Amino acid sequence: MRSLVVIFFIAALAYQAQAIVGGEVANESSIESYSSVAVSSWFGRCSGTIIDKNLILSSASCLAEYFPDKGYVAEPDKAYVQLKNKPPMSVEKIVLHPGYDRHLYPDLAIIKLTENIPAPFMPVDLVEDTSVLTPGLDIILAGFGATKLKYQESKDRNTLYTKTVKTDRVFEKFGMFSYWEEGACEGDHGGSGYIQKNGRLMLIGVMHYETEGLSAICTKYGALESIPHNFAWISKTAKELNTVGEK
Amino acid sequence: MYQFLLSVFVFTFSVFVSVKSYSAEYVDVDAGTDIDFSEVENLIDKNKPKTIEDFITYLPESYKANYNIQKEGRGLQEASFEFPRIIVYGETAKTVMTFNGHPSQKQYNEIELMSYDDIIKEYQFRVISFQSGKAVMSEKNPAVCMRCHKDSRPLWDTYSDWKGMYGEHNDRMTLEELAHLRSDSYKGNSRYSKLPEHKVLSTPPLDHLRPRFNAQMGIFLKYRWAVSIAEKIKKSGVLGKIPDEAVFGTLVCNSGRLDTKLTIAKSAHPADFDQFMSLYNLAPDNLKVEYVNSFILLGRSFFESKRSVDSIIPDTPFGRSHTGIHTVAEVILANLAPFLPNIGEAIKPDIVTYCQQTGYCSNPAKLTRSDRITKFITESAVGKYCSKW
Repeated sequence: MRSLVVIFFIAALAYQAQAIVGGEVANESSIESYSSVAVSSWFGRCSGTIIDKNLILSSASCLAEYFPDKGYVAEPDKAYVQLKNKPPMSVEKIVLHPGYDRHLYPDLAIIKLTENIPAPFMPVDLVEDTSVLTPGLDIILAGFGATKLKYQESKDRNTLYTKTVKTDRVFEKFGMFSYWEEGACEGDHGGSGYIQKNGRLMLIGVMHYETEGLSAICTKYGALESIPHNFAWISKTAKELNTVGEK
Repeated sequence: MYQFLLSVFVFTFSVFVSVKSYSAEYVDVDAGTDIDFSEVENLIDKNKPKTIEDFITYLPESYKANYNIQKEGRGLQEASFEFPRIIVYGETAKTVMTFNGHPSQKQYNEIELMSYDDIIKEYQFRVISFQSGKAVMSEKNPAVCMRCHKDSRPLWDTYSDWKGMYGEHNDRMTLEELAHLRSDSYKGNSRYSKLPEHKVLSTPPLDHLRPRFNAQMGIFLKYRWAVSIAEKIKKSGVLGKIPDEAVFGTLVCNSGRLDTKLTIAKSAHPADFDQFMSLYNLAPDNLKVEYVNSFILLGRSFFESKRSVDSIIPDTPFGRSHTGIHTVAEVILANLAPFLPNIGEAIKPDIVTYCQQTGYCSNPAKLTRSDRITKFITESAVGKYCSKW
């Protein structure tokens, strides 16, 4: 089993936490298949995915604050993570995708923890090949967000919900893809979109955050950042984060 | 205290701009590949379309790609949610053409079009009829068009609500609208199918990335309308007859100093003043300021249509964060600035600064989005002059 579940908490702000609308609770027997995590920050609760021994891939919109003189900045000390039944883990560094500051996409960020994620938790493999991403592809959404519309969300904030949706469209220009059915809701942004390949899960997307269209997104459609389209940045950043300072 | 409030404003505005302007459009009326009446005529002569479907096929790609969708008709051409009226506008809405989608609808076999004449600086209107199995183009400005567009004004609501349009509130399409655009019945329509899918469907379904289709067309229509008004003001004879400061104050201030305004109006247009007063006296109190402001600036043109009135007054039709332009008045003023040499020492530096920073006064077409944070004339003027005018 290459990937196991990690559940993180951050209670930085009293924000209504939120899971996949129409989703199912990932059952205990399969839960080890997922590398999805709950992440929170100054902003509130969102979701993420373990991609390396000490790295979480999540959404910039969850972690970044806007400052007029500096643009979008993510401050590690405003975020901490907690594995289920473990003490909180602090964050050493957060790297936002540079495109986020320019045009709010790709909505991606990588969190580096101050220490390695303890065994038996392990990272997921990433899909590199853009040609894999086609309309009609089954995507397993996994997140810790709301199960219903805003203000009706699940009170259980530690439960991973999953749902399989079909890819509707691929937006090459934006490096994103969408589905046209209920799915991600508040708290799911930054969460995982998996495909199943040879019996194991691989990460192919990161769920998007929505603001004004939130209720629509929860009930009708949603979008994910494409991992293969952003693979170069993810792998380069991950490498840099884990080589700087190493002897 | 003032500096603190200013800081709060700058901060708030900066945040707003940074968050909301990503899908903004530039205002550059020269940028497009838009066609005019003569090119539409050439297109017909060359291709001899027999139907509107044919005609759409021969349109330049920029027209097929940029269109708005009207679900409630307010003019002659009928529109419905299921069979909406399509408004193609190219890249800069220099020429705008419309058609609807079901044979039972009024004006089904006609294309309505308007095109901006760069010489006379006005939109002109025509109809292309396919009733006889070939395209027959009307004369310019037929009565049937001018009944509504009688001062040559395009009729388009002000940012950010366009009643009766798909995405009528701030370019946000409803789930029902999105579903209809994705439906087989819409995609299979003989006319709609000639267009590429609407840009809202080729963009990820995220609110902050949504294309600003209604706003985009409105920006160019309003921009050109403002230039038209500036031309009318130049032709009205008011420039040079009353102090430049008074022109400026009338344009940007909406104060209730009616006595001052009426005195100015009489000195600007003495021959037409009595006729104006007969209308003015009948006007509701809440419109009297608009009436007199418009008469001062337009002179005889004021009588052509009351529609001219409500675009003279400073408003916020563009959404500065999206365009760099704030008000119609601002565009008018930038076009008039070279003709107001004695505009007043206190205002002049602002105008000079504005013109230097934007290059807009010498070349208004080149205003770009980066100009949005410049100190605009109207902002400073409102504080300095509107208590006087």
